[in-house]
Amino acid sequence: MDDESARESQSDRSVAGAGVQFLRGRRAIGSILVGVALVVGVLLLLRSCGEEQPQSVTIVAAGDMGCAPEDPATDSARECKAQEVSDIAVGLKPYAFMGLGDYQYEIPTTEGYNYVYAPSWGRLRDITYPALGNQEYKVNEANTFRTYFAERAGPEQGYWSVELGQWHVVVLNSNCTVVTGGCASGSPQQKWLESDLANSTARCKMAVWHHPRWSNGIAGSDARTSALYDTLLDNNVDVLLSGHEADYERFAPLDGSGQPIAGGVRQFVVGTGGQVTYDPEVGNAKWRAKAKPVPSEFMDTKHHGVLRLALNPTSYDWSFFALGKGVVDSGSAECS
Amino acid sequence: MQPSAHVRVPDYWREMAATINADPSPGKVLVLPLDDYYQMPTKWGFFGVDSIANLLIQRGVVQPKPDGYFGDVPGYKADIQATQTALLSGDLAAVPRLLDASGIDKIIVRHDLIRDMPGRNIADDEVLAKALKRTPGMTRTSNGELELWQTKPASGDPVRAYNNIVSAGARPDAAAGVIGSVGTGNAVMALKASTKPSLLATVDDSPQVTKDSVQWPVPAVDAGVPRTTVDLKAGTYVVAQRARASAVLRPALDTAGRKLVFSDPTKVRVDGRVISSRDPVEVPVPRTDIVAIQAGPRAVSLDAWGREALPRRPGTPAQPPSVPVGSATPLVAYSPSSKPADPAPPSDVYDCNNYEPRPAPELKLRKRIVPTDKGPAIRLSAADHAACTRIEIRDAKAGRTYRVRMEYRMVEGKRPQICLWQVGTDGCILTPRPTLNKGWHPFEQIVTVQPGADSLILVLHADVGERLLGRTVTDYRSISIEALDPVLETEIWPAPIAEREVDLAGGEHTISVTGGPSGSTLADFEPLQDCFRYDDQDQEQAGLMAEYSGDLRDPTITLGARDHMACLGASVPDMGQSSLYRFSLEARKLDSRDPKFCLYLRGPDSCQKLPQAGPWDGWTPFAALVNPSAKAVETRVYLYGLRDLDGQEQARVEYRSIRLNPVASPSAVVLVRQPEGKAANLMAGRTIRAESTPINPARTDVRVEAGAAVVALTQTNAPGWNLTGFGKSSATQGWMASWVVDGQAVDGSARYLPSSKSRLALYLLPIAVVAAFLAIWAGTLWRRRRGGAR
Repeated sequence: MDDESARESQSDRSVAGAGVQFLRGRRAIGSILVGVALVVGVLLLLRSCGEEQPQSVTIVAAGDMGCAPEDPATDSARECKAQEVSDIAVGLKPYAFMGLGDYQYEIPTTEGYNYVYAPSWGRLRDITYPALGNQEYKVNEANTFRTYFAERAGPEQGYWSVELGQWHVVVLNSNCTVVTGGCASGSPQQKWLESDLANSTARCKMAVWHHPRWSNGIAGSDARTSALYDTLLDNNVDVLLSGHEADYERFAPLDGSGQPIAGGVRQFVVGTGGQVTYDPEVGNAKWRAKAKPVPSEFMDTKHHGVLRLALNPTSYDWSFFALGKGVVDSGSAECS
Repeated sequence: MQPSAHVRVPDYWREMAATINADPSPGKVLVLPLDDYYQMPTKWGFFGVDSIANLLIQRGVVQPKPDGYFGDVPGYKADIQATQTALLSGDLAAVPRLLDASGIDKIIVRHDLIRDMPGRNIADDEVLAKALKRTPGMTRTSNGELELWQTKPASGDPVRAYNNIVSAGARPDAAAGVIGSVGTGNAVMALKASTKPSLLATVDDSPQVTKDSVQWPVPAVDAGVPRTTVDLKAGTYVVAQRARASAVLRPALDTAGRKLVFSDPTKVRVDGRVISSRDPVEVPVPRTDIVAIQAGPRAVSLDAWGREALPRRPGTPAQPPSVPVGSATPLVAYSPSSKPADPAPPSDVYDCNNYEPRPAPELKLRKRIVPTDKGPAIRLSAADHAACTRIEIRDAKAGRTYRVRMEYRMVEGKRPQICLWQVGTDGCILTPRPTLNKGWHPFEQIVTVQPGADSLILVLHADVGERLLGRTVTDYRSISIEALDPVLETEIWPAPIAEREVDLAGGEHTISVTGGPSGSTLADFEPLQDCFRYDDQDQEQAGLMAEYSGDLRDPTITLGARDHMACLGASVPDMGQSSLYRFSLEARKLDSRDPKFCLYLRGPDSCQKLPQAGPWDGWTPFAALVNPSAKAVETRVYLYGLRDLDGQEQARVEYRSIRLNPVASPSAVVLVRQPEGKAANLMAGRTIRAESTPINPARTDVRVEAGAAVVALTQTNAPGWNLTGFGKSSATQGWMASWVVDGQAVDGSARYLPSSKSRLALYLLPIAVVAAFLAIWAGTLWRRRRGGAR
């Protein structure tokens, strides 16, 4: 090879080298772009997976849980069973826990939350959707409740909504003398409820508040929430969960006057979270005799327990797990 | 109320301004009611700086704006405040004199304010208008949403000559008191204050004594009668009483004369001799079985039931009932109804605080009858929720009036509760909270069933409100429910107190006021409370404490708090028996936080507006005069112990000598000496002519015939005026630029010296500028010449 050929050959190698380098550079850029695209794709996938609600979820619900730490009934056979009842709930591995109010008696102190509620029902804190009961307001502006539940406590006014599975769930504040504007028709809460339900496209809907609209317990039915209940009826809400009474009670779907009706709201009273259970018979008989009873389909005044609800896309199944007895009430229904 | 954006000034304000602007007389315009704050709420939507009158009316508008940017001359402010006070309290003789002294010949009474705004204290415009109608020399010239009242037009002359000089004390209210007590021919010249004003909130009720006058606001006393000794020049004195608030009158029924008699028990004595007193007011009544009256917001029974139990000094008798009576006070007299009340027997016990569903056996609600020294009592007890019994007043209907009486006590646990429930309205009638201690206390309410209510139920409680706290036990006895019928509805006015003359020798004299109340009306403080429980710490955990030391009848109270807020509350039973109270205490801080206290008004649910307390440097006194609020059903004194800001140490404060005393008389006693050796009568008006020719705003030519004692300008209170031959001005009537001319004729000019100086400066300015240029030119020329010479 002469010098010229050698120079040409060298020149060719230089061109080839440059081309290889060029190709290598492009490949690298392409690899980076593919990598970025993959990462973005995975992130988007994860994000969409995070946003997507499962088709069916299982939730548990109860209210009226923790005794005061100094309550003399703490070691009694029948009262102060928050630990045992919450064991049932934890064992059901729920997707969410609907707190039906009155989490800690007699004054909801930080001490009570720390030493009674936290070791029992507090195990479900991170999946809890807590409604406000009357006990919470025994402390100024329910601030121990807000401190304990923090980001899960919901907005200050105590009413808000959430999607669980394919269900739309509204959590309301039935402390009508506390919540701004009360609970009557035209109140801010009622207007919000009307608007929130009207904007929901979910087929199945559920409401949660503390004081039961219907009850055959000691307190009886509470008409203060009638305007809210009527709003549920108008918007085809299927289920209402309440606490307050120290018993479990399930009603047929009822209309605004307490009469069974297809397309009515089915209310569950689950004030059996462990604090105490009461037989209504031992209440003030004279006082109770004045109240018009509302026929319920099932009532248990003897046992603490939790309600499990399977929220399916077009139906729901319920089971009441009584402490020491297992399931004592169960069934299923289609959404209206 | 909506924000006051883009509201339109009503036509009636523009029409009023046009009417006044068309009037050539020079007087000022007073706008009543006086603003209680510089921003006023109006019915036509404006809520802001109250400047409408100032902006529309082209003359002096007298409308002080409290807490605004601009203050008022203290003397003038006192004159104006005294004018409104005199109108409201029925001391109408003082009104024309005060108006004349203030240079006011027109008054607008406005009916466009929203008086019942929370937290505001706006005088009643209807009462002011009625009082003006009775005031000598006043004529209403237009009516409507704005009323215009006119005095005789001469009062607005820009220059006045006064016949006589009366010296008054340095305190502004002293001069106002003297002005209100003498004829308009007197120039009242206040002494200069010899001491600097105090930063402390105090009540100066010392007698203001000069060679011509005495003004003494009758103080509150803990015991005995208020008394002061003054050194007076010999002479004939006019003795008057000027109102500081409504008269406090005692009602009694004269069955023989078929009349209600309202008497003022106070008497002003000089050297023990009664010199000044108020005649009783007699109101004919159609029946002789009147048992109760309502005067203004206050209802009292004539039989003084329950007054034995009111706080008073040991060994002193209970005070009979009294009512404040000011101008146009509405009066209703009640007799037993021809249809007696029909109360049902007390019901079985029931739960009236069913906050949490619990079985009855756990609540332990009980009602039983227990014997007491005054007969059987209903005893209610509860371990949780509330044990209640109800007495339905079966004949109750809207408009019917009942007198409900009983005695109650707390036996154990929480405070008794008494509710008069009006079925169909918003619940319990607002009444004073029962006292929290184990003694028997009277409860009396005269209530009229409100429109919209169709029944009245008396509910008695033993309310625990919380499980595991222990029992609450309460007793109620001697329950009486009487139906009353209004048999007389009218308006009453306090009788004016005649001004009297008395000859006094030179030297010391004792002035006293007998017959008035003495002692504090404050009940014992109740147990320590936590007034700011922002978390769930109990009192011990939050480091709250209250300790009593020293004389336990008048203890020193130490309050401490690490967190939250320690507080002690004491009720003021029968607040409203007087029209003026003195609230006083001493306090000091021991650690990081200042003392804090409140005169809490239940009903408005706010603290009464009080002067700024402190600065706290050792034991610091605080005192203020307060009028009872017509809107409050109960007044309580609260002492606070504020928390340590770091939450580390207990912050402690101490209080002592805590009092809420009705003043012995709501009047100020005024004595004014008749001038010596002159024909001029102290009570006469001005008789010497004064002429003036305004040249410009800073100069008025003045001509006054011989014989005047003082010449004054009525349009200005600015210092710095000079009158040819008489030098600088001093203040007359609390504010006017004036000169003592001592009988000499005046023919000269009143000039405003600051204006003259500034004008001179204005004239000198161009000369000075030219001179400066000349000096610069001369300097330049001089330097050039010196440079050329080198």
